[in-house]
Amino acid sequence: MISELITRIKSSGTSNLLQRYLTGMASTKMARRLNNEALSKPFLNCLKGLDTSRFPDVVCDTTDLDRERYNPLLSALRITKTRTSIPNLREQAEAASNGTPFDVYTDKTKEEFHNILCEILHDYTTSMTELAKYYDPKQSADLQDFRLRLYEAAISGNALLHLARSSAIEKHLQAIEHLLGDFRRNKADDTRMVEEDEIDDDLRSVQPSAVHDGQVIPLWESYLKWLRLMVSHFDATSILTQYIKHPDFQYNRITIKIITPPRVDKCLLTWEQLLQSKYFPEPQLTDVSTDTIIEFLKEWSDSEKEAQGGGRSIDQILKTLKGPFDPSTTIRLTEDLVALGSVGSSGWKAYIKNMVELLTKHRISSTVQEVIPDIIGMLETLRDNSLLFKMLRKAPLGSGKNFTGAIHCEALLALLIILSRTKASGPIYEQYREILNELRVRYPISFSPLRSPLISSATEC
Amino acid sequence: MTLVQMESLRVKLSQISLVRTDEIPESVLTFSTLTTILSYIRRPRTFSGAGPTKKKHRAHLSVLNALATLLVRDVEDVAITANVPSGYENLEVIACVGAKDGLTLVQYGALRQIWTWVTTLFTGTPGNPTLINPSPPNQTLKDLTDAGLESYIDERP
Repeated sequence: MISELITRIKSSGTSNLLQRYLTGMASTKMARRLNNEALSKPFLNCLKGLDTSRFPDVVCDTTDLDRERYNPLLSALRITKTRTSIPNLREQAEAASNGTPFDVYTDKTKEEFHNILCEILHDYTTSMTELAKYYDPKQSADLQDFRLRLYEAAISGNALLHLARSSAIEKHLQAIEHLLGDFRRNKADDTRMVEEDEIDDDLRSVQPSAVHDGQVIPLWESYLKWLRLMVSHFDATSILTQYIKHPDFQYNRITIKIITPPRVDKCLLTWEQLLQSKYFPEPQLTDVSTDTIIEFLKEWSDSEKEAQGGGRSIDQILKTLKGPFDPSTTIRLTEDLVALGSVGSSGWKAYIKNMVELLTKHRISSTVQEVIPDIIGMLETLRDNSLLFKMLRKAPLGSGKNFTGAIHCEALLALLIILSRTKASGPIYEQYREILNELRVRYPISFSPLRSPLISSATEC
Repeated sequence: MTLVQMESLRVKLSQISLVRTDEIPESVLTFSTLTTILSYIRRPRTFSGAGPTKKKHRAHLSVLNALATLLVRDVEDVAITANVPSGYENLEVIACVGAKDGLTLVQYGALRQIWTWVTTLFTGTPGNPTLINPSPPNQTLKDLTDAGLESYIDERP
């Protein structure tokens, strides 16, 4: 279907069909992303909650005028009805259209610009959420409204895409960076998602705490990346459309073949077998033997009641600790920690006992507030390790059975490409022969046979 | 490639594995165990934007990345490649789609979603729009001619 719709871009010159088809197809995923309580809502809530009267003065900047002049959003603003009053923005859009001097982001337009951003975000979130109901068997939505929802989602998604690509949004987010919420991703949610197998690496990569190429990205850039991620399907459609409509594009069709990676096997080594194997030699630099490591891990992973000791959970205690500091809750905090350490392995108990002693020591000297960050760090380490210990108990690591891993997509693709380009024979070639024929990469004689096809990948949740 | 052919290819692929169960080398088992353990060790995530330096390669990757993005429906991993020779009528793209949990037949899932969407459009009635027919006649897809499809997704409401 996608192949068919992509091909039509060339004949019709428009990507409307592909875009609306994909808007519907991606609505479940996009709605889930937009409504993610831990990783998206903080962005949304912060932008909506900003006090526009506190926006700083804007320094006149006429760079990137061409980029703005040809941004479709600007021409759309001239004629589109909006709930937000944007007379100054419309004036600039009109000037750009007439070829007279203009500047999208100024002192006059900064509030209007922010308000229209919030309006588009609201419309996009609402329409995507409504559209996603059509794909949820538990929901009941009126089919009569399907086209309307699809149309609204496509319109607002496009508007948000062009806004997120503009230089004005970069200027705006940089200008208001000091007002943006520097929330840090809550590791509790991270852990929960691991257990539910719902990790969205793309969404995690735009969080304020994310590290890119060894550097923590600036806060304003985190917000910009998040905005662009929310319209990634629209962006992808736009890139494809430009590629296909380019005069250099010589093909009549794009055909897409899909293969599914086979399962590896249901077995693996248990974690104990791994540590006892030849691939895990005795530690050379420490006095700790492999047997000691195994005993340590067994002791920690044998307890079933950790993390909920005495009815208290680590997450509950962390939530209290991360709130405003209240000296009167110190005794309660100590009691909670004691209860948490009342069950579990001896290692678990000893670790929590250290925390209680640290807290007690500082309580006596009335310096509890100083030690709260250390307690938080210790509890987070304990909780993160608990996930590993819990998994060591369960299949497949505990029993070596019921492993569900499949061959990595990129690895399989690379393997098949290599096999398809060699003329060697043997059982594996016979086993794959039919598939290799399907996947064989053809090159014209005048081209170097060594040229490598490009591989790209996307990991989504 | 038709949907039937794609499904046939998927079945063939799902029936094979690289090695027989009783011949799995210990090194492979070790690798699987190690990677599984590593996936449960929480650590700060870092992300890299490193890519090819040649403009032409960057452009190709940008297009393939866009295609990969479009092929992701829900929680799949998608790797994608394409041969880019000149002188051919079709640009052939090959996508490898795997489920996160290793259990779901993602390709089937994607096809089912397409069917669901199409059949919802064509067979759904007001009040019961989530009607799902897991095995719609192939004719349904053939009916998606210009006029048929555009009347649903290219018309202003």
